[in-house]
Amino acid sequence: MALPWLESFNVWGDEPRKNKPASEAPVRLCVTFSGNGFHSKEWWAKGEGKAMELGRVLAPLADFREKMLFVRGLFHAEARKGNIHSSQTGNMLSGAPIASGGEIRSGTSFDQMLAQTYGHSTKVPSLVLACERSNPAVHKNYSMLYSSHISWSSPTTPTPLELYPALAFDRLFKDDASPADKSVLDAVLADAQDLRLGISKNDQRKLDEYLESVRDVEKRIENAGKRGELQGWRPTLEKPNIARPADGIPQDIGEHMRLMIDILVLGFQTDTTRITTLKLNNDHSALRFPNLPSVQQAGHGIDYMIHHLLSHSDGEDFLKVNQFFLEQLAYLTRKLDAIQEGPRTLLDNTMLLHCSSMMAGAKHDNDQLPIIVLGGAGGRIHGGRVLDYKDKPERQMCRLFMSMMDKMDVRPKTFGDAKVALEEV
Amino acid sequence: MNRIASGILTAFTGIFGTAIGLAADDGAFHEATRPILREYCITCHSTEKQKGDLDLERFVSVAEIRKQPDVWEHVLEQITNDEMPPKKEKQLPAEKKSALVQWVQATLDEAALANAGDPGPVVLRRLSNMEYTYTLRDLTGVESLDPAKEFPADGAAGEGFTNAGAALVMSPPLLTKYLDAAKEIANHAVLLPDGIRFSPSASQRDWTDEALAKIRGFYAQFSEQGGATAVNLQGIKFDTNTGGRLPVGKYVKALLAERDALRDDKRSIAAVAKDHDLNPKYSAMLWAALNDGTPSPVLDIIRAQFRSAAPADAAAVTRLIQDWQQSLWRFASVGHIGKENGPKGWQEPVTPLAAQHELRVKLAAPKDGGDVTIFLATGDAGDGRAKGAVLWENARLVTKGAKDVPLRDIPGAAPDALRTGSGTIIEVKIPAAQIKDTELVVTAKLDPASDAEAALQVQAGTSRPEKLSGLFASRAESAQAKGQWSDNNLRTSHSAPILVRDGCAVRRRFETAFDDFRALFPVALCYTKIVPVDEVVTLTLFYREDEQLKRLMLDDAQVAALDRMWDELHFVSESALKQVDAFEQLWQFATQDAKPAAFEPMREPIARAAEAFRKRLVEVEPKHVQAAIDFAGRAWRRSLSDAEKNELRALYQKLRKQELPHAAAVRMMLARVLVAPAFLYRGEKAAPGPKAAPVNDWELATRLSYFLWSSAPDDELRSLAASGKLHDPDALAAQARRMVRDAKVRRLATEFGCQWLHVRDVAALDEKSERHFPTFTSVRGAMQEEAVQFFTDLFEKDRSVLSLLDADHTFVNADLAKHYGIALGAGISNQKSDGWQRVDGLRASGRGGILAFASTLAKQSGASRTSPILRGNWLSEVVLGEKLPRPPKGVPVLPDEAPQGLTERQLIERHSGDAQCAKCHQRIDPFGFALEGFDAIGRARNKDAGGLAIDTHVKLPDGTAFEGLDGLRSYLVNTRRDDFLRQFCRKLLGYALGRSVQLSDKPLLDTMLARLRENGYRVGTVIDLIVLSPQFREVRGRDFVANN
Repeated sequence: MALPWLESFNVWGDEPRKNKPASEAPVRLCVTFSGNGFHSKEWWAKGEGKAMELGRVLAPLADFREKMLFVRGLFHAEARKGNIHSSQTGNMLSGAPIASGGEIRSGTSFDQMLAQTYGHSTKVPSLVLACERSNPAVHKNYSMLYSSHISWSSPTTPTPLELYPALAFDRLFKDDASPADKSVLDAVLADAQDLRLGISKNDQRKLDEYLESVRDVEKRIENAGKRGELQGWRPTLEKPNIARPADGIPQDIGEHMRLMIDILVLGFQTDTTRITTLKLNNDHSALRFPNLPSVQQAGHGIDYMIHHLLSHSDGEDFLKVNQFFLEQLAYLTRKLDAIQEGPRTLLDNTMLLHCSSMMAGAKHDNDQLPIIVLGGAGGRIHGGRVLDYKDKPERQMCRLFMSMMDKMDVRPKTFGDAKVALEEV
Repeated sequence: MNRIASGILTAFTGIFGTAIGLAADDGAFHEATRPILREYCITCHSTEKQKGDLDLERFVSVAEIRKQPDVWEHVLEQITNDEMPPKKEKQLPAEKKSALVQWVQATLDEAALANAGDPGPVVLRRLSNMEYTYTLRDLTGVESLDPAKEFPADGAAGEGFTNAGAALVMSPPLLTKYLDAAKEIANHAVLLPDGIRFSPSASQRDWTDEALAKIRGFYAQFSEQGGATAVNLQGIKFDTNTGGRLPVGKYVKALLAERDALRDDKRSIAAVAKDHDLNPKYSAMLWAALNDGTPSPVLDIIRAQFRSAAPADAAAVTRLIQDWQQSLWRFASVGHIGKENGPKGWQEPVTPLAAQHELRVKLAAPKDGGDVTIFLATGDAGDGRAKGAVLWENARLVTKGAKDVPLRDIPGAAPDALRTGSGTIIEVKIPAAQIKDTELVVTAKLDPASDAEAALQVQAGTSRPEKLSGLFASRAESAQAKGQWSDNNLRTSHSAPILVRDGCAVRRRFETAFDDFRALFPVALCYTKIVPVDEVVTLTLFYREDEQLKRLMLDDAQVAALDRMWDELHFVSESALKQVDAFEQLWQFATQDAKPAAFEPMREPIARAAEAFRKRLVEVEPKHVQAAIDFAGRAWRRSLSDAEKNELRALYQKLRKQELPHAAAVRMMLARVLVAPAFLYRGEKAAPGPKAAPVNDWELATRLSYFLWSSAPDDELRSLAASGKLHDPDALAAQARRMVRDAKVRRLATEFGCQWLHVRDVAALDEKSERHFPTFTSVRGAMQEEAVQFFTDLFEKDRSVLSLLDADHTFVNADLAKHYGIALGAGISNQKSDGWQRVDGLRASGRGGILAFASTLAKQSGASRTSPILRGNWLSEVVLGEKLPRPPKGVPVLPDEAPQGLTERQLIERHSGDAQCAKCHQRIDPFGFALEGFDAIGRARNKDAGGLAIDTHVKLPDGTAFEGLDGLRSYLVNTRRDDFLRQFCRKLLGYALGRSVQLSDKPLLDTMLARLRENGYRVGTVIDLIVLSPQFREVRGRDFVANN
């Protein structure tokens, strides 16, 4: 059976090359995203190592300058062809062309490519989290699914987002599947195979999402309890060391973000998953920040404009909100760096990419994207540098993805509109 | 075919037959059009350059163009919007532009006609979260289910609705959620003796309570509350015996009021019963009994009074009946029914007949210190056929804590001879000094010397009886005597017993008379308490006593329904099994301080019942399996094949082999049904080959039902589909019309109406600053509800589509009325129980229609201030369906804050004055400015947030000027009417089909507009046209290729 998002496997050739000792910790990938870009003048970095100077947006990451790459000048050509917002965001991690007119089609994102490659190695192939609900509308001829999803399991499947901390925790750590579940899944799998026979090609492709999902869940049931047979490297944590979060979504957005971060770190630390994405907010976000003190309206919180409109103002308050997002990123970075995995920290074994789909919210400009990469990818990335591609040819964002996949031993011949990885990364 | 359906089909053919003026053939293309393209377009959009990925050079024939109409629609849009050619390139002269536009339009129109009715590309649709929720609520009948609450939000595609397949994805985590939700719903299944029902709850305790409530609700239709008896069980005091009363007063009152009309045959008893809300069966029975001539001593008394009473005397007649009820009935405790010497039932007959009876009179010392007189009276009991006398024996004063004082020891208290005949009274005088919590106790005994058939009614009291002839009601009083709790200690005394000999004819005569009365006038119809708490340790779990109700009021069907409810109660609660444990406990308890042997007779029946129940549980197992299979048919929206039924049965067997108990296995079957692709997806079989073909009747039923109800077909649709009648255009149109009148059309209002206007989430909108708008949170739910109710009314009442713009009415509750500054008059009659009501005359107060909904105004505003840009853009894109050119990249930045002295409008005008931006903003901003009379949460205002006066005068780029909401409304209704109607039709069609509207739908949209004009713009016209269109009824062939 043709499996839409596995088709791309063919061009990749063999399994990822095992060119590192089994006793070494695996490389993890975490992608974080915040929408509507940043302050038009305060996203910058220059210099090297300890001496690196940072724009005010990036100030919260000052402690990690030596473990950070500031990447300037990369962009997605396809994201410049449509309208603004949703059509700028739907291919954030794939660089694929985006369908308009009520259709949904983008490309499989590189994090999901990796998840499909490493899916068998961990209990959960990837954890796709979000702190803002996706937007059910069509905006300027483009579905707002594009604004809400950076992870795509296939060109037509934006990976559903988990918003509830407790359910994200369950996804990682709950094991209650029974033989009865397995029987039920066997039965519905057979249903789907029967159903597949009478329907059109397009419908078959849609139904394959279902088929693959059933198979995946079945596989997880079969594998439950089989872990621990791995040779060599062992995760530093056997079981979660925090309690299952309360049901529901925390009122305070900061608390929500930190809780999601705690869970994804736990996923890495226990080696329950190696691939995570966390959407801090939507492109076209409607979040407000009543708990952040406003600079422009002293004595009040930043509650007078939703994030999207605030981004147009490009003022001190927008900067403040930018910093708030970067503070969450610093919280994540600090947590990862505090966990020792042999000679390196978990941060050293991770690639943490933070990005947005436009540079400045006030301009909707995406001819160069805001990008930083934190962490060492198991000693394969050396931080403390600014990589500037602004005036160079071949500055496809997808080249960065190829580089990052390379660090995890996945080397497709091409990815999106890129043919070669970035040498400098 | 009916008039409407055939008219619509004619309309299709009529439009399709219309020729289009500019025939586009290859000759014209090469001679006229291609040269223009070459000169102005292909310079950049050539095969070589392909600027913007567009190659216009490759289109060398009309046929090529028709193959890709979307490219040319885009071209047309770019040219008419003046986007192309770019300003810096060579510009199209007006006449060339017009020629090009006309030619492309004509070619596209021809392409549209050639493919008219194409069902289009509809991607396999998963149920959206709301469809999933509505469907489950309908399938289970449980409105409180909210299984998708924690599911990821659905995306929108197609025309912007969440019901388009492309945006409805699946993934392993989501599948896990579906499985968990399915299992959770299956936990709400209640296994019944004859099948399965679903409950809002997932606990046996609650299911039992539901079954109890159902029975009590049934009883309550016939009986009334009241009649409580205070009980004291070892110091615990409570009321018992409440409820279940025969509402005799109501019947007497009605029959008395209608007596003469009934007697003169001017009215039927059935009509009287209906008018007075009486039970017809009992009314007829009562009326017959009250008019029956057969002598019956007690009833005769009532009949006589009924005959002579005026309607105002109803209370007195009722009182008479109640007196007799008091005399002839008593209530026993039911907690131990079945024990040795125990009561036989709750409501028991008592009979004031005896050869001798002890009478007791409570005495109170008179305040003046004088004597108390007691009258010992003897009457003829209305009989008097035989002679006899009463002996008053053992008369004594009984005082608590003192020795009894025989009456004869009190000098002068009573005559020596205490023997009386009928019609005599003995006066007994007790000095006040003797009285202190004292009773006079005396035994009245029929003198053995009396005639064998003698009957005498005796009474003792402190007032002189008025008459001594005739029968009157005694009063029965029952109380618990001292004794072990395992005994039956209920004792009844009568205030005016009739003394007769045992076994004699006169006694039987009285018994018959009493039976006649009881047969008509029980005190209670049924034991509504059901769960008795009337013993120290109550054994009976559920007590049923409703013989009187069944006999007097119920027809066979009602009896059967009631029996079913009881069966369900026992089955669901598993009372037969629980009774075994309860009995064992009671027995153990009785060994401590009572006689366990008293309960021994119950042991065997309880054990037998438990055994029988266990057997029954096994016997009914196949019924549950069958019920789960039937459920699958409903959930999967079609009939099941034998193979599918067998597969479901096989799954059940497999689960049992995995050692799941029966109930758990049935639940897993249900879960399996609900996680199956046939439930989660709306699969449609495509015919082989390229041609579109009608979907089958089941699929059509599903399309119709999800279009209008967002849910699975109901029984009527199912039966039409099953019998293959639904595809008949008449049947289909009739169903659509039935369905829009059903309350479930509210979902169309919500899912279509609110999504179209982008207010679907206003009830949970979190985007407003609490600081600026503290009231918003409390009124946002009502804002959305207004939109829902408005659309619901539009569809239900088949109103004009234009009313969306120019309605003079809307729906509000108190909160929203306050928000709008509408004064709701007191005592408004059309207010519904939920506090919502329709209000009219809205336009006079500056509102009316969707433009002035608080929901749309608030949604298209910022957190703290209005946004004329958002509102204008919404009006242009959402309401009018205009396609605006894309905003330029790198627009200049807005100033941080409205500088001092500038209104928000002036601030925006300054921004929009930028040449890059002006082109669009000139179009959209005026719409928003016209709505500036409403603040960011939709309240009317005449000053903006900064306190500056609002200016709502606007001028459109074409010079049209108007002011405010009224001006905007009349501009839209008059000048832009067709654009608005087309947009509405387009959106509803896209919603119905689950895809984007495409070029080939244009003829249908044209027809819709034409028919709307002819039909007073009634919305039903559009719905009819949609459901009868080939787009809606057909599916593309499996090997479809665009047929150009």
